[in-house]
Amino acid sequence: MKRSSASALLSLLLFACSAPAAATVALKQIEWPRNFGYRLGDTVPVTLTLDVAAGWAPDRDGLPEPGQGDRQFELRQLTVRDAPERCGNCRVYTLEWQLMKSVRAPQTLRMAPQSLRFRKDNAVAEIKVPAFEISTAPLLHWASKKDIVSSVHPGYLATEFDTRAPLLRALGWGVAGVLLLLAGLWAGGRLGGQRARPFARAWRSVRALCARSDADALQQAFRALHGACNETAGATVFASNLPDFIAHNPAFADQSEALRTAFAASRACFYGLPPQGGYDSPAALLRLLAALRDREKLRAKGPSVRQAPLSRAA
Amino acid sequence: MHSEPVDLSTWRAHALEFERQLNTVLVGMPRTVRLMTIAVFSRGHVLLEGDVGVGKTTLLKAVARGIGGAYQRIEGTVDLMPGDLVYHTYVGDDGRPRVEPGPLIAQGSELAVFFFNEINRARPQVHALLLRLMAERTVSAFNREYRLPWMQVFADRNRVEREETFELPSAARDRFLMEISVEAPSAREQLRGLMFDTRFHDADALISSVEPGMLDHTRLNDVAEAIQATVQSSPVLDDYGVDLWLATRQPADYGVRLSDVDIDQFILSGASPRGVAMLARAARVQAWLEGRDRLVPEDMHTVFFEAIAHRLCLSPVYETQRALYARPFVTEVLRQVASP
Repeated sequence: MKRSSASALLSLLLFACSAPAAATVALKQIEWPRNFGYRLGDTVPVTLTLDVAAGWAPDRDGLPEPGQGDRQFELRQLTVRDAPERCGNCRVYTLEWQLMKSVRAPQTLRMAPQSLRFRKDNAVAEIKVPAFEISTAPLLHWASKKDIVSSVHPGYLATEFDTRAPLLRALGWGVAGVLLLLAGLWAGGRLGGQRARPFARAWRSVRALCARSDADALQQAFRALHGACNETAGATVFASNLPDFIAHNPAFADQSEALRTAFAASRACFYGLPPQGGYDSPAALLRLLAALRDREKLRAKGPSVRQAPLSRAA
Repeated sequence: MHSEPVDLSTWRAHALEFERQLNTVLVGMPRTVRLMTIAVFSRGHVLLEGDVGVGKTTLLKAVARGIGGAYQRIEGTVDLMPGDLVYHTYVGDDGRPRVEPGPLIAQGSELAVFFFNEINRARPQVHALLLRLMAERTVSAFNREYRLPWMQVFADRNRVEREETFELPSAARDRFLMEISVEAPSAREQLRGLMFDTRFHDADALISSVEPGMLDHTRLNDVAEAIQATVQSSPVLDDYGVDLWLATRQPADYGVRLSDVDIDQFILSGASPRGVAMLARAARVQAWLEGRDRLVPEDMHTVFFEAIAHRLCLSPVYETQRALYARPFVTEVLRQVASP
């Protein structure tokens, strides 16, 4: 007798525990989210309107844990509010799911059916939430390169780099480079009007040779003189056509004798003829080149400029 | 060949006297006479060019008289064959056929000047014989080889008439040391003299004023070798000569330009190695005549056109106008190639 009454009590308890909750928690309405246009991180709200009898509350332990399931969706939050406008015991439960799956191409994802448990004391009731599907798309390439950070991370304000100092440094180096380039062009005689003044360039190159007195330096100096004459004439000037050169360039007429002597010395230097006096070092040639340089400069300025005395040209 | 040493200073005096006497025969042609003198002492063959009656034959006869030795002349015709230069046949008084040596070998090795008039009227077979004659100064006939050690060939080209002519092949042209243009003087006073001075009306009498054999033709080879051995070049001038040579082959690389001419298409082939060697040879003689034992660029300039222009092979489109383009091209080469 005692044994049978214990079994009856256990059965009653089990019956009470597993008693159907339909009478106490009833699903009235489901408001589904839109089923398209989702991307990684978007939230998917599912709103349930339930008729919940007094004393019943959602069983927090029965809610899906983060990381469970297929990990496509995770429950971000559950909000509850009374909805007396719908029925006397109505409550609106909003399950806010977050899309956690990144896709490489548009894809339809299916959320498995969920159970929502309610508890009142030891009694348990379950509401079944059917499965549903949404379509998702991959994250798009950022729309604007000017706002990369906010396009991949909306709302984020990037701190701008301080570019003034590097810009100033770069500007300084640039100015220094341009000055060096100009100095090099000036030294090489390739700056502006210098290009049209071959004797000025020849004078500079011979001036650099004046410290030397060897035969090679003298040959270089003569080559500079010949190069300037050739460039001025637009053809090769030899000793034989020097009078033609002077005739076409009368600005150098008063230097014709010096030029003739220099050409004779050059022939002796290069072709093994008997040595000629007068031009036996670059320094001697420098005086002639200075005179030619000054006449060249005056000629470039035009005929209105009177020729200056050149006794101290060098 | 003579074994005694050559006194170049004495020979230079002879050469200048030879040149002076030629200038008395040919009025207003000092450059032509200088080039002929250079050719004589370079021992090179000469191609003459010029209009009819400008004095080419007179010049040659005067040169032949001054050199001494034997002189022969032949006229180029379309039916001339190589054998006509080597022998000629006839029927003797006794009615029997005779074969006698032709103009090339009639005087044996004494032949000093061989004048081939209007060479481009002769057939290519004759040009081929001439090619060997100029290159080796030998000719084979009567089962033996005749050596002509002192012979110089002077040939004349008719440039006016084109019918029944055969242009010299480039190989034959290349054998000539120079092509010299003989032109009538342009100075009015000289023209008046040529027209009214009776001294110039009798060419034979004019030529007789040249001292015969004033240059011993048997010594000219030795003198020429002595000149080549004595007159020295320099590294800078050698470079200049090579640049001139290359400029005739790749003119664009040296900035040579001609108006209305695509310079890249102008030249088929430039001067040959033999040509530039002859240029240097002639330039040395010019230096010697000027009393120098060193070459300078002007020596090359003096002979450059005459020694190089006839060796240039122009593209066909320009070849027909060679007379129009050759001299400006050579002048431009000399203008653009630089040397100290």
